[in-house]
Amino acid sequence: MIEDDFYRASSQFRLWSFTEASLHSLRSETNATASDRVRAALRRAREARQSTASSAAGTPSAEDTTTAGGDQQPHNIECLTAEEEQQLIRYYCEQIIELGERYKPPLPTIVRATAIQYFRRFYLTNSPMAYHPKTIMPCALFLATKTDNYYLSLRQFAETFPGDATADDIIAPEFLVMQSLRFTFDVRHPFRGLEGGVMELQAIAQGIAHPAPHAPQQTPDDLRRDLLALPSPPPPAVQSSSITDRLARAHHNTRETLKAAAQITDAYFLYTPAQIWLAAFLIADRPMAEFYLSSKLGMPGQEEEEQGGGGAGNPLYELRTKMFATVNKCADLLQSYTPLASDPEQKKNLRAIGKKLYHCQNPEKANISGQKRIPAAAAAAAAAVSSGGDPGTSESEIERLAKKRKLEGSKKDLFGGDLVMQRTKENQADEQ
Amino acid sequence: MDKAQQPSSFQQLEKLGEGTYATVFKGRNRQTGELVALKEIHLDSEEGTPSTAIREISLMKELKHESIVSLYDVIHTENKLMLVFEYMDKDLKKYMDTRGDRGQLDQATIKSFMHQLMKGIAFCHENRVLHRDLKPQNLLINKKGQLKLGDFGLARAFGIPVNTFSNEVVTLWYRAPDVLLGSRTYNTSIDIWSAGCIMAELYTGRPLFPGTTNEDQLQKIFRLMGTPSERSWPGISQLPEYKHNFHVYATQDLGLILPQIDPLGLDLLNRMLQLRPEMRISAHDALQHPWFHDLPQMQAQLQQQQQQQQQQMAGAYGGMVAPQQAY
Repeated sequence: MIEDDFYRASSQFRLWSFTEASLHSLRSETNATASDRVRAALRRAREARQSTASSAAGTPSAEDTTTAGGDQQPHNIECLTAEEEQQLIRYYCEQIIELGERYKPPLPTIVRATAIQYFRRFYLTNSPMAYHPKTIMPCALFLATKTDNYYLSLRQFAETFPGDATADDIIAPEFLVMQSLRFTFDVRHPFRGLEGGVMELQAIAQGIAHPAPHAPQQTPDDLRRDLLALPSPPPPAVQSSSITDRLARAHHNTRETLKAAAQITDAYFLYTPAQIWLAAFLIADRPMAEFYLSSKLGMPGQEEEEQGGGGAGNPLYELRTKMFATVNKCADLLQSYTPLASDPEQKKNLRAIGKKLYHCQNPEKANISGQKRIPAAAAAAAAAVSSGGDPGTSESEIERLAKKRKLEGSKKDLFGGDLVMQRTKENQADEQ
Repeated sequence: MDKAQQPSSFQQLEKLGEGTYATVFKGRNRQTGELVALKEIHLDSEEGTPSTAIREISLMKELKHESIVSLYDVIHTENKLMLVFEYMDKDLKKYMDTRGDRGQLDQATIKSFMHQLMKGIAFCHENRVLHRDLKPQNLLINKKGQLKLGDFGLARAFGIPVNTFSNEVVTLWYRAPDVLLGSRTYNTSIDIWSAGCIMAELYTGRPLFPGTTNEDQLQKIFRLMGTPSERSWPGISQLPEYKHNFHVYATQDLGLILPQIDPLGLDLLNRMLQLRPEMRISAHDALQHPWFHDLPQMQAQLQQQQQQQQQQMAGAYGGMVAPQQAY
């Protein structure tokens, strides 16, 4: 097996990698399903209100006018579009990065990056209209401290966390999040690859590098000379005095891109960790990144000289062409990211989206603290359904649970059934 | 295999043991009749799902390999989390107690188990995972003669714990000398040391280095492998637990305490039990070792043996033997 095969076996590749089209259609589908559910839930809420109103028939005229005036027809409810959901999610991703700074010491970059990926993966199949990002975000961040071995007690975590979220609120959606992540918690980040690449370049700079397999005749000194002869990166990059400074600067700037742009764009869904760090490196210092790639895949034009033939048809040439195209595309994506703070237009937009969400939040899912009880109820309900052999029992069991839910949550706590559906859907996906 | 999802889909049978942070039961899938191992994790209301459980789930979701026990499913109920694992009949320790001649196993079984163990370790290492707690109790055996790595509760966690969550002392017997000397930069080679200790134990039926304390463990190792010095292991004197007054032992011939082992097997074992971590053979290279070259022939022989044994067992238990589960 080569490194690539290992990546292909990872859950990140198997479950969380997409083409642009498949990513887009998954989000549209999630948005459409959530919108339908919001409308249906609001209709049910309205019907419930109407039946209460008509049964309390004492002063019908006064009741009727207030209801009619305040009531919005469900088909008039404006739901968030998939693009608006994306903007909202982007905002909370930036929040995760900022929040990490509040902790003493600050949460490691890797914990924040993992949390952002959990959060983004969660919202591939869940809509902010069903689960408000402000309730999911802290849970994703706390979960990331566990999976990345950064021990922090829930109490410590909750104390520093801004707002009035209690420890219980923070872990309330934990199982929901774990389940939406399909219990895959291992996120492959581009940071480690970057460190390896920088180490290799440092070795080249010191004249102690190993030649690449395709160019065994290359000496460490040749490599070093080529590295030192590289043109400076174009302005506005700082013109470095020494190769060590230049490498350190490129390293730093690449990391900055990986910490923000790589996290908040769709880079992880569309590209491999290696492609992502190479793309970020390309943005930081294009001549050096191209040199690095060439040291692995051969210099452009090299085989023309050596083999006296055009590059096309040469497997290394084709690989390099493909690789450069992919990495350049990824770099474009990373460069498309603008932080919210530097974009007043986006900020204004976001406020409007926030207002809109207030009206289209699914009322049946609003009580997130009730989430803790769901899995049990859902599991029991599903167990009743799946036991199948004795239909009488299952039906009575479902009825009993329905009654129990009514009693527990009066009007809000009605979401057990949805989870069962989700769960069944997931199983079907798994079986395919 | 995500068909069975709810706790009630499984019939809970007898308790199999206490894991590092959970209780394990034998279970039966009510629909398919398939046996499973149900690992019950009690949820901590203070912290939510324990991080050890999350880490184990996380690893098991990535490490899909024939020599690593499979995680089929995760089920959540009100106050506990249940991991549904592939069922294995017993762990290697129990297997040796019941199958071997005073714990000693035959050559073919030893070679087959070691090959599967090294395959599982190689796969972990290729995926940058250290198991860190390899011991006979964590190696699971099924009726098909398969050996698989189980219990990844300690894998990849911080440092090396002294106590489990049930306050049971983690055994030192399989711990590498560099770890015992306090090295914090240990790597994949620590699993190779453990595998070497296990290999010797397969031959003798007894643990190779049954130390009681950290110092005693080191002494038992040095008594056999020789006391290392700055000359044989550059940098050793910088390790936190290194003592200049370690009793100096000469290196013994491992073959003397393992009379049953053949020269090739002894060569491999010596490469695994190198004191200096950099000198230990990698799992990948161990799999290429000539000792494994005759494994196919030996496996054929082993199969024959197993058939005979099964016939004997069937005879002994009469018609009471349940049909073997296909998993």
